Amino acid sequence: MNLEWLLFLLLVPFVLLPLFTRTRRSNAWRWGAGLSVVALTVLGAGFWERKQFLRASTREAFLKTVPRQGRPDGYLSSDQCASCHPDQYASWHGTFHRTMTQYASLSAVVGRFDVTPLELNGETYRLEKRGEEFWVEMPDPDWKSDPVNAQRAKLGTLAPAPRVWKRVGLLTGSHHMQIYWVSSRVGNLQRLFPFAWLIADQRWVPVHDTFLRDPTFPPFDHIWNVNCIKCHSTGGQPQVDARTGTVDTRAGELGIACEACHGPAEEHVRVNHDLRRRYLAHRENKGDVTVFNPKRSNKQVSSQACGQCHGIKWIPAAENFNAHGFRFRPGQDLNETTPVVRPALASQKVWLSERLKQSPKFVEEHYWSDGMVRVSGREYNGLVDSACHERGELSCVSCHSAHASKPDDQLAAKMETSEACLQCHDSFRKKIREHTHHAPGSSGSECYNCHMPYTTYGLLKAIRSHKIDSPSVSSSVQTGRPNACNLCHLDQSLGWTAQHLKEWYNLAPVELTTEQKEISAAVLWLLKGDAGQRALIAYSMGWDVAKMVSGQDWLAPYLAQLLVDPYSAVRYIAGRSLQRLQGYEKLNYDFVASPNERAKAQTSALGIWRQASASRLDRSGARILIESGTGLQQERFDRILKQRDDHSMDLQE
Amino acid sequence: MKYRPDDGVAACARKHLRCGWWALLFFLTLGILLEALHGFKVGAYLNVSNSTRRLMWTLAHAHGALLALINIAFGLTVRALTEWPANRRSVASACLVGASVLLPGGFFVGGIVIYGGDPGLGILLVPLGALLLFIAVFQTARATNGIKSTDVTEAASARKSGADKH
Repeated sequence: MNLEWLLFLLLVPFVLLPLFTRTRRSNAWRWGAGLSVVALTVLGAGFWERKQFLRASTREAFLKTVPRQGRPDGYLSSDQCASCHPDQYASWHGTFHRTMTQYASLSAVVGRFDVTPLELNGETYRLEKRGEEFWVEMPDPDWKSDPVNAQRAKLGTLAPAPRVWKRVGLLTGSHHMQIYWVSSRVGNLQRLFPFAWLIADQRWVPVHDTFLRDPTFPPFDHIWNVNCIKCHSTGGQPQVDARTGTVDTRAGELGIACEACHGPAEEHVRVNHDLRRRYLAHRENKGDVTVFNPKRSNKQVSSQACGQCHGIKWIPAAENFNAHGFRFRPGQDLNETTPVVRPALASQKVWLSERLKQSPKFVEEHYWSDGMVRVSGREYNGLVDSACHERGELSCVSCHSAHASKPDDQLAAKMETSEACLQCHDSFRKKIREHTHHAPGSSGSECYNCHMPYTTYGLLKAIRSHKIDSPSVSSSVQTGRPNACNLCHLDQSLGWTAQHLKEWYNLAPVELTTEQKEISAAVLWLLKGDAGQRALIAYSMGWDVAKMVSGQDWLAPYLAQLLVDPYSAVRYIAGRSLQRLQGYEKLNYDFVASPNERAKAQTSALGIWRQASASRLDRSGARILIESGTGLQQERFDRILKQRDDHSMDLQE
Repeated sequence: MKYRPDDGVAACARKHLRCGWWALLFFLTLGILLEALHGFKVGAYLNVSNSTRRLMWTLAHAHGALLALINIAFGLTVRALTEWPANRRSVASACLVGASVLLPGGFFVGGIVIYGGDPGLGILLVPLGALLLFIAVFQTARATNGIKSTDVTEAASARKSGADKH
């Protein structure tokens, strides 16, 4: 008998039996009533205990099918941090870092499981919520990876996968979208459920349609234990043994928790059980050497704590990641174990060319041709390539704060304004107009609109570049990367930008084609650019600042063109931008609908535009291929569109 | 009705005063122990996953200390309520003692084993204790309806003369 029951059984009769002896009834009644109440109470307790036991057993069985929390090497989990750091714990608890990976539970799942069955490639997927559990009926996700079936697949004799009910084990994300994972028959391996829940849109879409990825590529077959674990857990260890075929994945904690940025905390907790040590530390306010604090570290080491996830790293075979996870710990040099890939760095050229033999598309999947990062979530690469970091003191924590910020972007107070730059470049405070050539307070006078334009792609949107640089027509011509000026002045050409940059900043003139001189740069990137460029321009055409500067009535035919783009991510962004234009709010468009339906939506959008443009058009001219009165210069439009860069793309955000 | 020193009343008052003061000492000690758990950062009490235990034991401490004070107040009240029939007083007294055990005891036992946000089975004792406390307070409140100011004065002088004799 455990202590809980012992105390319970002692307390109940101790209190209740004397109570019944006070009544005036017969002895038999007293004892009978007293014992009945005691028996009923004990019986109730038995039921309670049984219910709790069953719940705990189910939970225990579930936990055997999903990656474990808890690992050696000094990891303890955030559970132990709250008692000494309640404020930091609370602020972290509200972030999207915490919820990067969670067990599927009522509080964690945001997707709707009471919807009609989902369809993908001729297969049906049923979703069901059973009490506190989430289940999906789908083709057996282990079917094709079974060795016998793999052989049959090669011979072309593999039967269709049988349908199975799978309990959702893990989920990743909670900010923009949520992706779900189901347990495999192999250890605690988690296979991808092929639909994602888009949070803003409140709908399910195929996961592969949420990435900027060649539509002819086969759907994703990701495994959480080796892919997502790298940056969606704290101290993840895949523990995949290819020899024995076992998978016993564990992590210090699911999601990005305290020890991801501060390092394993076992020693810190151990020494701080000592009251005197704690109070001496409070008085001296010097920090604690037993734990890493990015705020108290130098710019390189501090930023590397963020860069371990927000950077593009090369994972050498010697790292043996699939067995033990990363060796890097915050406070160490990230480049010692997993070098950050910086194609722009001359010193990396030889080293990188060797690595690229193993993975030839690595650079183009992550970078612009000049080596600047073009995918989201890799801001550390932008930072370390910036002069502000190389020659100045800029680090991630100069602008971001993990504990004193709003969850979205985690910017510290005032860092969403020009103060972010002026905290170092104070001399510009009094010469905003002279420096920017825009009125103080206008969008063109905000530092980040020129020096951190929206040139990286990820999460179905454009995101500000974290390489702090200046607008350059030359870079735009050489790399195809839109520059800050033309991302805002959507109706202006590269020639116009080059002329202003020469007049204002004495930048050397750039040799441009007639087309580049005469036609809006945004129009050319949208019609001729690669899928990544098209996505960025589609995003800018929905950006309020750009619409205010460039007008918006003329944007519709361009966005309508992208409604039938081959890349789903481009279609999504274009659809969203178009529906933000006045008059198109109710346009019926679904970016993953059939090509016919998408074409119908395009026709419908163009119809609205033709009607509206007859009475209302805030921009026209040859630059944007629109003539007042006659409408779109269709022939020129089509001629440029035929030159579209359709090379296969797969941006690895 | 004149106040007559009554062995039952005196015994009941003594019982509750004794019970109250010792319980107060016990629950103050428990408070010191809980503070020590804070001081030494004991994970079993302070970790986020143990927040239910922390809540249960804090409630045990608070309810225990409060009920100890109620016992002392009851001990003093009994002396003033000279018209309170012995059997009703006895029921109120038993209920109060029961509540003093079940309420803090239930919270304490409920914190020994926890199931995430749910306390252990000891929590089932709490509503039972609350019911007993309700009965005890109701009986006492009802008994105060018959009290007269002269009774209180006489009761006080009778206690004084009793003390002089000793």
